[in-house]
Amino acid sequence: MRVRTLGFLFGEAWRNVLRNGLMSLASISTVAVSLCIAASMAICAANLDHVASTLESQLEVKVFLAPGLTEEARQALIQQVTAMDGVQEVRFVSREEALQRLRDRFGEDSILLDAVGDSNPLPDSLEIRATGLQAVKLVALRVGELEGVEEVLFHREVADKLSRITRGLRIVGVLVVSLLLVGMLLIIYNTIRLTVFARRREVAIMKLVGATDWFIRLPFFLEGVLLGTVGAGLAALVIRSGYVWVAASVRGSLPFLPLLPPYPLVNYATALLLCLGAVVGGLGSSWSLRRYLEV
Amino acid sequence: MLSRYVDEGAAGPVIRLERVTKVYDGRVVALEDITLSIHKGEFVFVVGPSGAGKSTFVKLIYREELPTSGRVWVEGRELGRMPRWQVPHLRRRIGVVFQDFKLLPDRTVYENVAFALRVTEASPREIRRRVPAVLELVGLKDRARAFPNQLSGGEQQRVALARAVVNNPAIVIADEPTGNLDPDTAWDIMRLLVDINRLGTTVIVATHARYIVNALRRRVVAMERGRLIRDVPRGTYDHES
Repeated sequence: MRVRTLGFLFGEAWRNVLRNGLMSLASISTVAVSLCIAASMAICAANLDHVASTLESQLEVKVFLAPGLTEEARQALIQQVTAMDGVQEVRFVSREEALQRLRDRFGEDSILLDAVGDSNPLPDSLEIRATGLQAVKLVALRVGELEGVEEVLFHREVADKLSRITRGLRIVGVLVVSLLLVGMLLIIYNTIRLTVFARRREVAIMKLVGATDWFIRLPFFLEGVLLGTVGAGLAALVIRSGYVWVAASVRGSLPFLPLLPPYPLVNYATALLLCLGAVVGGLGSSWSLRRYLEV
Repeated sequence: MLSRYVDEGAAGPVIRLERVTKVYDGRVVALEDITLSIHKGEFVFVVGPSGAGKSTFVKLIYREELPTSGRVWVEGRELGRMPRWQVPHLRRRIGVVFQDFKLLPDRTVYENVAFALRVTEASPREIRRRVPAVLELVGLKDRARAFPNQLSGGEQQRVALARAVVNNPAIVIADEPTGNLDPDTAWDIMRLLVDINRLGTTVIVATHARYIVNALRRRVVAMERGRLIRDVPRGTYDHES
């Protein structure tokens, strides 16, 4: 095939898209909305994964101390903990220091701090660094049994929970995305079916003047690819600007949430979406052509 | 622009039908036991009442239909054995004109004619050279930018004719080309077909325009209820007593 022929056939495909205005719009927007939903779910899952693995890699165990613990009891506790296997470092954080940290993090006039007022609801705490990932859980367990310890928090636990949520979300996501893909396929299938029907006279004339099979089929195939790609392009635009905005505002208001940086993530997402759109468009139109275009 | 379709039978007849029978849906007999040869450069009228089998006859030549039994050769190739991928190349050797013109309504006259060339992947230069030439031949050079619905019936048929010959086909088939036209316009079209024939193209015209057939005195193949009832070299529409 010659390049100029491909150009001509591409022009024919574009012509079909324009002539089928309303139906084209329907399929482009269906593809765009579906891919937006699919991409949002994928990005959410990726971020949850990222948060989970970030937390998991932190070797810290946080221990909240019972209120009203005496100075001696506290010193004894710290010594006990320091002597434990798997503990690398122990740091005492007073309730005043904890409050100051919150202030630093949220800014002086945060709503959260306003709610607290002048009272300080925070307990004294210990920050324990474990020597390795395996040690974290053991240390947490043993510290929990000590006198004067009210609660033990370690990231591993949070990470486990997050992982479970992510796994669940992934199953739901795969289901939803599969359904959306079927929906996209169906609408492109139907759009191409309508084009073939609208152009049956032209197809007859093409056959008459000696057009080869692929010459007749290619514009319809390309029409499907175009619809899928344009829809995907719109979805990519929304996802790009959407995620950049979300990431920026999360960094502003919830800085401790370790989201994936927008770049290069959105570039990968764009490339993936465009490929997906083109493939779905091509598949939908091929399927339709096999059923409705006799050449 | 060398076609993969190979002209193997230049010496023999351009078109040959041997004991051809065509039955639709297993019960409607459209053609029965037709044997006939048409040679290069001939001008042939196929006449007969509606339903006589004229359309089926021409459809067999451009392989729109295949015979139920018997064999059809075009330029030495037997169509029943022609692989599917070669059919487009056969069609490029045959220009076809219909009663209802079959033009693309959303394209200009120029584009309608150029379409037949684009299908063959002709070069832009070839298209710019050939299209105005054939439009000139059919007398529509000034209407190149018009759309089909802006043309009269006769003009539309001339566009169809231009499209049929733009590829330099060996054979031009016209199936009731004047069926929708008034007698004067019909004559214009017929004269064009005669001109095209004079340039060496084999022309086959299925018609029931008695006055044209009788005036031109060309070979007449008369059909009735699917049978060939008469084949006369310089014949008339009706049986000469």
